[in-house]
Amino acid sequence: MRQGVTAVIYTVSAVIGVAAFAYPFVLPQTAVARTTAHAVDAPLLTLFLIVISLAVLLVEVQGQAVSAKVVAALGVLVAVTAVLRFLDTLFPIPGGFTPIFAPIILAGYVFGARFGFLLGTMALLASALITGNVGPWLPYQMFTAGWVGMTAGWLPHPRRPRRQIILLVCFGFAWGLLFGAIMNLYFWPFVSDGTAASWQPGSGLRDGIGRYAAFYLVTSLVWDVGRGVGNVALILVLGMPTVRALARFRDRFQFVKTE
Amino acid sequence: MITINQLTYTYPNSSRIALQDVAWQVNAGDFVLVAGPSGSGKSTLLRCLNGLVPHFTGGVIDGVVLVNGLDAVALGPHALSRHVGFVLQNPEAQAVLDRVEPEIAFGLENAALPVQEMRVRVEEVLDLLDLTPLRERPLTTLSGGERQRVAIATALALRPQILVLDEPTSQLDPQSAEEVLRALVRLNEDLGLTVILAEHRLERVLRYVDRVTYLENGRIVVDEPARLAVAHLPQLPPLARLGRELGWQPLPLTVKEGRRFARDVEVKRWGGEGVKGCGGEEVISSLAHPLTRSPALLTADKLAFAYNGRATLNNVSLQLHAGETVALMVRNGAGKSTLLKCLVGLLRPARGEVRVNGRSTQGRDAADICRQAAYLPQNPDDLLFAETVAEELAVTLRNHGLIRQNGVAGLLEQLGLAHVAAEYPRDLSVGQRQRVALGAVAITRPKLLLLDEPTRGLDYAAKQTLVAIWRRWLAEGMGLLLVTHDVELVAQIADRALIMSQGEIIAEGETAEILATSPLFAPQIARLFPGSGWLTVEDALAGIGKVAE
Amino acid sequence: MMNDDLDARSWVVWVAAAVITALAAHNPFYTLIVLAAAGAVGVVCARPDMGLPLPLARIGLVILFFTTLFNALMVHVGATVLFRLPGNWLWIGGPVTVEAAVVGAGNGLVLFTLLVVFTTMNRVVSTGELVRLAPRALRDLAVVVLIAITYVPETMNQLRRIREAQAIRGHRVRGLRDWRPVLIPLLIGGLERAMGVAEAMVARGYGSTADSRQPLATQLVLLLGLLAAFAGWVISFWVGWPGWMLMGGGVVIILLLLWQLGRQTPFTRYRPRPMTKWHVGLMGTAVFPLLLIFLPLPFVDKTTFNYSPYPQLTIPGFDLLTGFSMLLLSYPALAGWFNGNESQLAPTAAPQVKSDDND
Repeated sequence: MRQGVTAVIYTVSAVIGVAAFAYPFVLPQTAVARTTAHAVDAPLLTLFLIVISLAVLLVEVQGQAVSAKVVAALGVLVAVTAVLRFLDTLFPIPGGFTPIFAPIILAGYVFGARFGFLLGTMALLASALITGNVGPWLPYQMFTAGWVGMTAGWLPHPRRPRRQIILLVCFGFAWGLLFGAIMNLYFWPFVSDGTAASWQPGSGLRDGIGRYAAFYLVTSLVWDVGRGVGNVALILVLGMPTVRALARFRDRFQFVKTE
Repeated sequence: MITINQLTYTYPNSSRIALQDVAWQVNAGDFVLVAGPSGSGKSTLLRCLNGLVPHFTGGVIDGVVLVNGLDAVALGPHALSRHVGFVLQNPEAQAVLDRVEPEIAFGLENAALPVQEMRVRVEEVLDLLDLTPLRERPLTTLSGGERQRVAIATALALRPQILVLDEPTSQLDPQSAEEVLRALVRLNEDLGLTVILAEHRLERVLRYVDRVTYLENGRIVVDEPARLAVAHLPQLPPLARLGRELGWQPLPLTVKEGRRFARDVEVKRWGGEGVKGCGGEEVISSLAHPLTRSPALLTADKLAFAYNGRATLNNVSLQLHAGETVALMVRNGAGKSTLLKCLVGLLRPARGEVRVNGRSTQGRDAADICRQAAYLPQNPDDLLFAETVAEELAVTLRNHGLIRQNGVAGLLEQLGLAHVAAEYPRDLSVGQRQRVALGAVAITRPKLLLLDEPTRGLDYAAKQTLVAIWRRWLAEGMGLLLVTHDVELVAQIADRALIMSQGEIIAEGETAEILATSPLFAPQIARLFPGSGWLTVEDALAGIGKVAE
Repeated sequence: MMNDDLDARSWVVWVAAAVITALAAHNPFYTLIVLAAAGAVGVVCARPDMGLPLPLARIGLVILFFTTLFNALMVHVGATVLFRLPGNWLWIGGPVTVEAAVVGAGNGLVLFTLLVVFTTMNRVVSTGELVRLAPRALRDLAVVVLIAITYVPETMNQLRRIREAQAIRGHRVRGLRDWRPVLIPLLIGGLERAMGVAEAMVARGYGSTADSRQPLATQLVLLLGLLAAFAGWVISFWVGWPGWMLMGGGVVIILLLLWQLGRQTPFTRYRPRPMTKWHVGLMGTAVFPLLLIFLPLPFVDKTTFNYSPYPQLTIPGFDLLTGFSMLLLSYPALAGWFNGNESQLAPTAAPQVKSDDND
């Protein structure tokens, strides 16, 4: 029963994520035409929705996954990830590459979906706090990075290392692109808000996606490809040794009391 | 206070029994030393006292652990945190928060104590451990000894009646270690706190403790009041060992006690010969290796280095010849790593020159220099990343483009690691890891070896294994620069010694004369027989034997 | 000294008020006032340990440039046509108008204002204070962040040590592959440290509840709140108020649950932050413009909140009282400036901080 409710919570949260990021495309004409003011507060309400959804997921996952060991492991791994982020100037990869995703993916893959989710959210939160980058974008980043870690935990574990690495590489590349596209979507309503859309006859789903595609091409495709390629390179080179190192600690961290 | 009965424990995924049929009792107010070689079960025994074993570690446990009448095995660490304070080995891996005062309060916050009560307790432990001047400081700005005192304060804030410390001084220099031990003695004497301490270096603590428990292979082999225990401990500090050899009764625990016997020795053997007259030529030549004045392997000439405008090195010169061991002892550790880094090219000295094998290191990178002058950093774990021990050595060869030259198997044999060549380096014991790291830097067959605190945290046996390896290499003509606080090691192996303070060399000479005259670095035997030139038990026995003839 | 007893909660109110004001009052005059107020606060109240400010002016120009360009090229509406692009150019083909450009610039201005508001918060409120905001029910995760902050310097040191240790065995970083000998020991060292930290935490009594799984009831309430918030959000696109109410209901459910869970979490704050006059002032002044915007007040010209240059460019209206109320957002800057003048009478800043700490 609890498992079932957990699954429902995850599903609703995922639906909310998709809806919150995709609403600018399907924003009903009637709604916008009725009140132009709403187009302004829609991003704000969406931000609230994401924050609430994030809080629910955190409470749910924290309740299931957390012991002192997990807290300490998360804390120290978040510190390592944050330090990696300072390193991104040292890696000779252009574009929006940041080495923060590879550890989230790999840790989620080895330690499981909940650990991955917590590492994703906390890594983004802590590095924003440390570098003074707290802003309205942070909940979106945490939410998305949390899902990166969560989904990494759901990946199958093929027996052959070669297959594992191929799987992780593809996964890393896909999320590299997706993360950028999603982060742009939160930004999108500000750039092309409903005020304009309501004055634009025939602005529907297809046109919206088309315009977004243009916006995306201009602003961030290069960055996102950089990020995707960076993830691929990092996972290719460091993936298996990291997975092996993490796996050595898996038993020590996930020990369940025997009495 | 503590009663353990029939305790047997095995770690998960391990076939070795960590503790076997342990029966142990500790009375309230005792200061107990738990000793024994690495892997003997010291840490495991201590972790049973607050339920970390088995609640944190897992594994199979059988037996009774009663602490203050509470069943530690059943209740677990949370219930016992109010009764047993616990301090770990590594001062850098047990803090949760980054400042002294919040860190001390952290445990109290989670115990949901009222605010007023918390304030009182924090002030109390700040005073007890002399931390009041440091209360606002970030932990990263504290020395290791200060951090361990913060860890003790943190443990004591919960007002336990028992304080358990797992090798709290093994990562510290002698001064910091002394500072921590004095704090423990005060807590034990003034407050009647029961203190249980695991420690390798018996010479530091034997005089403070009421009782010694010695473990070997998971069994208690000695468990007696300190004075009785020294008579049959397998490993002893030099003073007690000499006393045992010479049949002193009761065995002295402090140099002061030992002097009473030492006076007799001198009077009887040397017939009132002046203490000063006995130093000099004869003794030193009898123990120092005869130095062939071959060309210097390593020359540092008037090195200077400044960090943030403060001079960390000032006019440092030193020389090292083939087959020679030079010990560098640094007060407060100031300038130690700067000097080593300047020698191997990780830092560029502001002034002065370094020559390795007669070639200047100017303009060469660290990798190139280290091929001839291998440098073993303080923490071996910083080096280890490969999947197997053999691979770890091969990586260095590949780095240098020397993979064809295959000496891996031979070197592993010399290091006594042949039987673990295929194992994961991180799974090995501390001593073995140190030797893997040594192999990883020495696989290029350098003429010169620079060692930074190579015996830190090692037990007696692991130290002796290292010394044997170095002796063999020295005989083959290698030169050894030993940067250490371990005076007994220096006494045992070094030909010459330098003392550095505030970035300057303040004393230089034969080991015997340097150590004997230094109030800080004199080994126990030198303190016992001032002016004799003796540094080790062997020196003293040989000296006494010679006089007797 | 002011920063030592900062209560982050009052700053959150300030940030929320500034953000909502900037978004709700869609009028470049108002946006500029909020921008100026936030900028002033950021300059005056920044923590002493903050480094140089971001090159905000340059970032602002970039944002303005791109949003203006984008909207002008994408939206072909408005009376004042500058020039026309060939109609067969995908999306950007058509008339390029001044109105569309102005809308773009206005959007850019709002974006930039939000950036400045948050930059100011980051510069004023310390990391530790921000972590204190975490609801008590999420205490474990707050501890995660605290541990991370504690161990970042340690990890940096370790990284440096490992790089040196590898360098002396002939390792050189040429490509990505060469990071392996550096990053793997860093990771393993980190995990080993984590074991030590976990052990120390457990020994100090951390983690009281053996089974911290949420009971089914908690889960169901979480789900209920989440669903209510989601439904409210969807509905708000068609009908405003009912949607907002439903969403608010969901939020309240979640908040109540968090509060209830928090009460079950054993924890007391070592140094509680009392609310001072200064905090009350900060929050009171910040909420003021929101009252004027959202309350049905007859003497406020509400049409000035919905400025739109379509179809023909006009000068935006301006309500004097509203404009003045938004200036109140600069209260912390004024108060800080006042305090700053006073503290100049003391010989130097540093000893003063110390004496305050000892009190």
